[in-house]
Amino acid sequence: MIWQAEDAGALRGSRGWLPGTVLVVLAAAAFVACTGEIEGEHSTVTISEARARFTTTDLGAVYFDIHITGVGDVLTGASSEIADGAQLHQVVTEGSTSRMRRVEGGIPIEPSVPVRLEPGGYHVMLLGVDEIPEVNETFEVVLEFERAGRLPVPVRVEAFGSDGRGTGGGRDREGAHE
Amino acid sequence: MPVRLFLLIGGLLTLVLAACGGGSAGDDGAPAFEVKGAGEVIYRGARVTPPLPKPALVLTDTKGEPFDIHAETEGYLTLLYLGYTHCPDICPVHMLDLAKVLEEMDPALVERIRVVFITTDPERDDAAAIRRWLDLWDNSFTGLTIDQDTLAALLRSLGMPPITKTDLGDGRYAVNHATYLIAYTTDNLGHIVYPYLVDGGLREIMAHDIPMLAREGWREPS
Repeated sequence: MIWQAEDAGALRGSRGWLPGTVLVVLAAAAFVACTGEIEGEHSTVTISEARARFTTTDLGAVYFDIHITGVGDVLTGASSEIADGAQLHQVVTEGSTSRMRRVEGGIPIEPSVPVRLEPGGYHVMLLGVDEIPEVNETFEVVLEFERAGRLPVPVRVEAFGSDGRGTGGGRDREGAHE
Repeated sequence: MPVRLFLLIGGLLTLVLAACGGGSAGDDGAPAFEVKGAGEVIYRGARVTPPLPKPALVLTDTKGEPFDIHAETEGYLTLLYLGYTHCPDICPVHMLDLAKVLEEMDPALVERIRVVFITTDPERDDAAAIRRWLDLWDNSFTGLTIDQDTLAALLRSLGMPPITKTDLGDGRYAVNHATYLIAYTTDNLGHIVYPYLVDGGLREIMAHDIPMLAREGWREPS
C-alpha cells in the first residue's frame, strides 16, 4: 500500500503547528486496491483536540476528534511508549449502568463525519503507565488505521484536579465536618 | 421497586436520547429532565419515586474509623456516589463537576453538605487509594471502604444492578456500575439523582439544584 504520512512538524514547521492536530495526506493510489473507484482523489485524516487524563492509578484515558475526508477508514488500535498497553474502549450506558467494553473490530470513521472520542463514549485507555506525565506535558500516542496505517499523535495532558492541576491539590476543606 | 426503577430508567432514557441526538442536554437551555411543581421547574435532577432509602450502614472511612452513615450525615444534604478509583472516565468527571459546583457555592451552604463516596471495587480500593483519589478534588469528601457482600446488599437496596467486570487482560478489569450521584435531603431520603451527562451539562444541573436542596431541603412538587 502506498501512502504518504507526514508528521506534524514537517507539515507546519517544528514549532508552528497547532498542538494536538496532525494531518496525514493519503495518496489516492493507496485506495485503488481497496475500492477501485476513487482514483484521483485524496484522503486526509485529521486528529484534533488530542488530550489525556490521568488520576491516581496507572491508567489514563486519551480523547481526540477524528475527521477524514475522501475515503473512510477504521481506527483499529493504539500504542504509546509511556504505557504497557493501549486499548480502544467504549462506555455504553444501558438503563442506569455504564459498562465499559473493548471495541472489537475498531472504530469505523465515515468520510466527512467527525467522530469524537470523549468521556462517556469512546476512549483510548492506556494501561500500566508507570510515570504519569505532568499536566500540559505532551507525549506521543501512535494510532493505527486500517488504511492510513500508523499515525503518531502528540497528546497533551489535561488538568483534571479541581484546582487546575492534574494530580493532588484538590480543595483543602479537611476537617470541615469535625 | 419496579416503579422506582421504571421512573429512573425513564429519566435516563431521556438522557441517552438527548445524547444520541447529537444535541446536548443543556446547550439550548433545555435540560434532559426536570422536576416541575405547579408549572414551575423546581429541580433539574432526575426524580426517583419512591425515594431511595439512605443506607443504614456502618462502614470504615479512610482514616480507618467506623463511619455510621445515618449518625454522621444526619441533618446534612448528603451526596452519595458509588464508583472506583480505576474508573477511567465517568467517575472522575462526576467528582470534578461536583467539586466545582461546591467551590462556586456560598461556603455557609457548603457547610450543610456531606459528600460520601463508597467504592464499588473493594478488591483494589483500600483506604489509601480512595483518599489519594478523592484528594484530587476535595479532601473533605468522605471515602468509605466496604466488603463485597455488604456492597452487593447495598446495591440491591438502592435498586442498582449488581457489579459486573470487564476483563482488560493481564489481570486488569473495569468495574461496571450505576453512574449517578444520589442527593439525600435532611429527611434522609434520596428523591433525586444526578446521572452522568456526556456533554458536561451535569455541572449546570447540579449547580441549579444543590444550593436549593442544601438551603431548603426537599420540596415536594405540588
